[in-house]
Amino acid sequence: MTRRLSLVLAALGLACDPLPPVRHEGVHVRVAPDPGLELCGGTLAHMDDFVARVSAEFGVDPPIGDDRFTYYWLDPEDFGKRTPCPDAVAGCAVYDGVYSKVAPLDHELVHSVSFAYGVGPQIFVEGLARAYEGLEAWRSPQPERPRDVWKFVSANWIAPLDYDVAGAFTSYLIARFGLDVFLTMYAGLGLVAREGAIDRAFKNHFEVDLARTIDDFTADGGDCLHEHADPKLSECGAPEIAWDGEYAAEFRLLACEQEDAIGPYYGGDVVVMRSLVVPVEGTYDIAVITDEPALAPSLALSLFPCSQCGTDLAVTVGAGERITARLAAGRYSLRLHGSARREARIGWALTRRPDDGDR
Amino acid sequence: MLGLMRPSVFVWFGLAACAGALACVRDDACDGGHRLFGGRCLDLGAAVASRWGFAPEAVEVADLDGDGVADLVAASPDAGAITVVWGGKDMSSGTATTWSVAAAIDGLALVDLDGDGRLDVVTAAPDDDAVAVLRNRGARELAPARLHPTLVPGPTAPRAVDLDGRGPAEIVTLHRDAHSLGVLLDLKPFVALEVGLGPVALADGDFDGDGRRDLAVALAEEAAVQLVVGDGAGGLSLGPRHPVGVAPFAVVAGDFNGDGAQDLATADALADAVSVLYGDGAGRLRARASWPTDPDPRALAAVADGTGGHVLYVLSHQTSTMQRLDLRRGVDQVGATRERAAALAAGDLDGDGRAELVYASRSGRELGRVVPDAPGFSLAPRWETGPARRAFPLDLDDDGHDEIAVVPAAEADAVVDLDRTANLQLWRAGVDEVVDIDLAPLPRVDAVVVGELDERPGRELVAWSYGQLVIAGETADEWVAGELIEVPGLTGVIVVDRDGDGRQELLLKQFFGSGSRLDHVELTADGSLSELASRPFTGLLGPVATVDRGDGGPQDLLVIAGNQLRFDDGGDEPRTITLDGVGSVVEFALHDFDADGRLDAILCTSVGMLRVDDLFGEPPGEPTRIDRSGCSQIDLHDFDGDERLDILAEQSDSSGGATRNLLSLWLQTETGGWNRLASQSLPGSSGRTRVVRLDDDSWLDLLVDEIDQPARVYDMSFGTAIADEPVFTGDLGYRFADLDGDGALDLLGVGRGLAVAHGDGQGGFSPVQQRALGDLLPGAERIWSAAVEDLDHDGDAEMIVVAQRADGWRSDLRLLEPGRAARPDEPPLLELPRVFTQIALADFDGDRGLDLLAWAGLPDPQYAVLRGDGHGGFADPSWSPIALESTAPSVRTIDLDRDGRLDLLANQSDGLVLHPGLGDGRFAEPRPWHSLSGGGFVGAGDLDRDGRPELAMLVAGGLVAVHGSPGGAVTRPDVLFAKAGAGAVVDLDGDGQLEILAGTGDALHIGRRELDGRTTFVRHDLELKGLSGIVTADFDGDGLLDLGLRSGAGVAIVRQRP
Repeated sequence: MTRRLSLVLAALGLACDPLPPVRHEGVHVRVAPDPGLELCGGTLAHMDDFVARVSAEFGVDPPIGDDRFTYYWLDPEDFGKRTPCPDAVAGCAVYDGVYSKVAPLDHELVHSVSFAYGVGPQIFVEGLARAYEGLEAWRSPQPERPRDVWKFVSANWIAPLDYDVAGAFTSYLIARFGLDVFLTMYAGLGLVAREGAIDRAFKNHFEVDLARTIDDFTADGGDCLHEHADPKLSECGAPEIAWDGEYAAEFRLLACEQEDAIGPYYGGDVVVMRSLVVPVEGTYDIAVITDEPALAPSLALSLFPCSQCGTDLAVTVGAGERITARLAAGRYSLRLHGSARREARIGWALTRRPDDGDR
Repeated sequence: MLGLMRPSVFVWFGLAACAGALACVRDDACDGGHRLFGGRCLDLGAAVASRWGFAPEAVEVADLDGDGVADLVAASPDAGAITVVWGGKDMSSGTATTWSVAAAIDGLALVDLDGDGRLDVVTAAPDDDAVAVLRNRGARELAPARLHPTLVPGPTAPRAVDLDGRGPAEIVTLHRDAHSLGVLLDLKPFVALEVGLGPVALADGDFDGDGRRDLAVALAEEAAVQLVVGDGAGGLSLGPRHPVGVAPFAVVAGDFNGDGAQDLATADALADAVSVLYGDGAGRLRARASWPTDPDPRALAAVADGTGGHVLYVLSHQTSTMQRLDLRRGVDQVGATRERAAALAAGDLDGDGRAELVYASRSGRELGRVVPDAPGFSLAPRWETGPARRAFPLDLDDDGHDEIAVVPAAEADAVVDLDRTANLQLWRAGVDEVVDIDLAPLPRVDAVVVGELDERPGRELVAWSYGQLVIAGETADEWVAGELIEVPGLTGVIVVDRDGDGRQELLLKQFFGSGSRLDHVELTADGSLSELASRPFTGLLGPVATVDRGDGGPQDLLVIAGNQLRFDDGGDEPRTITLDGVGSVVEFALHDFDADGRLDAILCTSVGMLRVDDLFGEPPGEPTRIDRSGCSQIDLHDFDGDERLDILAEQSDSSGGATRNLLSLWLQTETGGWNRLASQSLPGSSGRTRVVRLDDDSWLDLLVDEIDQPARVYDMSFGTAIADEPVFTGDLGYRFADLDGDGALDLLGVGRGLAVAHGDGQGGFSPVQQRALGDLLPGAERIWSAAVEDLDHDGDAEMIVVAQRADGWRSDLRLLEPGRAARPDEPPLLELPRVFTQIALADFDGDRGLDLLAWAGLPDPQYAVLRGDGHGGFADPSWSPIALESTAPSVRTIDLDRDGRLDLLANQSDGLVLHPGLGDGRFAEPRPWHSLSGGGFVGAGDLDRDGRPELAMLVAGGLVAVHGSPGGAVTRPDVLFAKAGAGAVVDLDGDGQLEILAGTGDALHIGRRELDGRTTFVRHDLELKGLSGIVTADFDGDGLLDLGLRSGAGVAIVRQRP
């Protein structure tokens, strides 16, 4: 799809019902929510941060001034009529315009950044967005999924695409050949490139054909869950918690209005992002508490390893729980999860246990 | 035609339409209310809220009524009510009064505000930005709560402190959102001071040695204690701030090291520690020390130790354990409350001049006494395995010592690997080396068992996951798994030797969508499984055990299927062992406790932990209750070495937003009774605790297997511990009835007590007076069912109740008059054949006199109509069988077929079943009426005006109308209001048309079905939160139906005005 065609489609969509005015002006993103929709206090800063990080990763300048992305956060009612997006999707991006039923939806911002490399076949357009979208409000890794790449290689924007397959395959290609080579290959593919064209592009840029690559993916990389493959640019780049490697703890208010609270995502979630460096592998006790028992089910802490497709475990601890976990050395995304609808206080403590005693 | 009409006609019609519309939306006579179609007004704006809920989070000990005996005062924040339990000689009077205060309250302070010598009650009303004061009028009467605004919004944690030394004390409040502390002087806003983030708790004392009162504020979000210095005239200024552990939720002052100086202690929830800030005797805090505690300490109490110093009691929120911490000796006693405690308080309960400790349990709706130096046991962590998914004790080598088989939590769990196979680790006490067992080709392992399954020497290991298993045998130097065996629906494996030949077989538990199956199989020479027997069951299979009844034949099986005990002796069909008054059973243990040669059982049931002697007798023995609290696991073991088996009962508890496993140990006495030791508790939820034998030392070992956690081994030892002793429960079921014959409805609560509040005829109620059931009905433990009516026409209502005896396992029909205690020797009206019998009063035989219907469910469902003589007497019953399900069948009396005779409508698992009344006290054979099951009845009426009544039911999808028919109907119910959580269908204003009422938490929707079938609802937002039920009745006695909007806290009465 060309930029001009997209803009025409967008204009046709917008002609039916006016889109809301911009209410939040960020450095790289402007947000135009429908009346009644409110961003959590840290969401705009997160969007700016995310766009800056993805742009840097992709080697493009983040948009500023009039080139900033405009994020239309819209009521799901009549979404399809007011936007160029199909009604069934959560959102779509048309160059610098993002139309979404939820906020934030970082997946669409990846699209807006990747338009700098044109529009490739669907498996890589969505694969790239999936590969870099981050964790959103997910608290724990999602269950296993099918990895049949062949079924989707020639996805044509009409038949359903399995985003997890596309994301996993794209992540695998980037990990194996490097992002630069991947983006060069991607930029050379057209919107409607199918199996033959992709195979030729693979041979040309990766020096290995598509079939062999898929076989290798199935053998070596198809088992990596999205949440582990994604570099989690914002999550792992979030402010680092200062600690001595033995004990860290915090008790705080978690409210949508707070400056570091991101949300409300799909279901009214709020997330605070931090990063944590575990200096040495060891066994750690993790406790999460709240002083508002009725809200305990909505409160949790999650720890996702920043190592991509490694063997480290993700850990999620709900309020009122305490667990013991083996954590490998390295950086982790530490996120606090709560409800955007009701503020609550959450506390967590991470304590390194002494080495195993005698039996 | 329209074109010919003159413009003025349009204008006239338009004005008329406008006037009509305005009449609907603007009505000064019914402002804030709802205008009913007949013209009357439902006065929602003047709704009167009364709160009587009991879920205490704060408690204090004081003599409120001046009788020289301490009382317990408790605040229930969400219920918005204050309860005083009036003390008796042993604090077990069960007499209490509850006052309605505000929509939400927080904290409690007792102080004589007016100098009349009586302690008044103060609590914070954060939603009203005020402090509520209930003046003590004496004679056990508190004045209605009066609100006094605070300077800063959202007050919490009130404390009475005489800051200016002039008396009476000032009220100090904390304001969490404003990060402030506020002072009310003479109950007027005086001063506010910003103290820091998260002020949650307050202590007072002279901390700087200047002779003036100071304050210490725990700042939960700043990990600090902020001192606030008093100037002796009511003025306050910030003093030093002292760091403590993260999330200090409580602070208390006392002399904890016995040096005569005042110290401060905080409960640091996220540090699992108590911080002590030592005073130096010269008014300064000189040092901080930290003492480890059980996880998540939230509450503290300082109790005088008799030498001028104090010991600390620390309450863990995670485990609800109390630790006694003497800072000169450390933690010397520990014990867990069986209901999760939310608060501690110290006071002289028994008048001996020494302070005792009490606790409040919000989730258990209970107040109790803390008893130190009680017989108990302690658990000392010894060692743990590496990261694990599950763990199982197995004696693989048959040496009398258990190994711990661990399903390791592997790093590879982070990725999806369809080719992965399972392995197992064997951990042994005292051995560093861990033995790995490769269970390939089993892809994953849920559990393992061990048995002697073949002729070869050595045991076999059976590992399984859903739908498949492998059997591993030991070769010279390793364990080798056999072929993968597919067993569809496999959910469990039990090793048995039913034929007693020394070679064991397997029982395979399988679950399918339609039910369960238990296969008895043996291992063949080629490594496959050969089926010996197979038995289908209804419902999910729980625990299974073999039963050797000593008849020389194959062992029988006792199974829990669908939460029912099923006994399989190899006959045509397993027999259900149904026990009178016992609902679901989740766990059992068998033993011949009384050595009579017949097996007895300990059961974990929905009505507590029970013992049933001669379980397999026909009939089995009558249950005896060991413990009202339930259990999820039981382990029989001779803990005290007296050669009698004792009971270790485990109960998972996730109340209060935290998870724990509660362990209670019951020692069997010489006479066959049971003595409970002080309970202990460990963090965790879905695990299992087992007594294991890991080595030859003298300690008992406990293995705690928590899912996805390392298995932990504890040493168990006996000694003194802290016990809990409940003294009051406020957990009653409430209903409305005119008890005093004044026409206005009163409030009646029944259960293990009896509570009454009198209606004032204006929609309000007097304070709720609760009395212990034993005082009114000697020998009774609990009321299961009650019917209220002025049977003898003397103006006062009588109650006929089904009361379970305190001794034994029987219920009686008894007459109860709320104002009169029955004589201890007063005989019951009737000894009932079933413990759980329900009753209803109505005219069942058409003689216009009230009869009493009694019915009971499984086992042996039956009913009887006791014909009334019109003067309060009833004829003897004649019991007849009736087809009813469950031990507590849901039955309603209603003339559903409109023949003028009352029918019974039973809500059963296969739908609504009608038992048509014959008009002579009998009921005809049941007929299906509708296939809907699981709904809650909220009304009946001809909603669609077809001449036949529909039932209004609450189901998961909301409020629906069910169109049934005597032959049974499968028509889809009409949705009247989606997502309703409360409902009623009634002709409120008597105009012949039904109003439809639907509640959605914080709103009431009132609708009316139009002639064309449409229903239009008007929404009314409510101040009441959590609307859970709607009662329609004439509350004020004016002849018009009013609304009672129920919530967990109480009721809001909405009156109908002419």
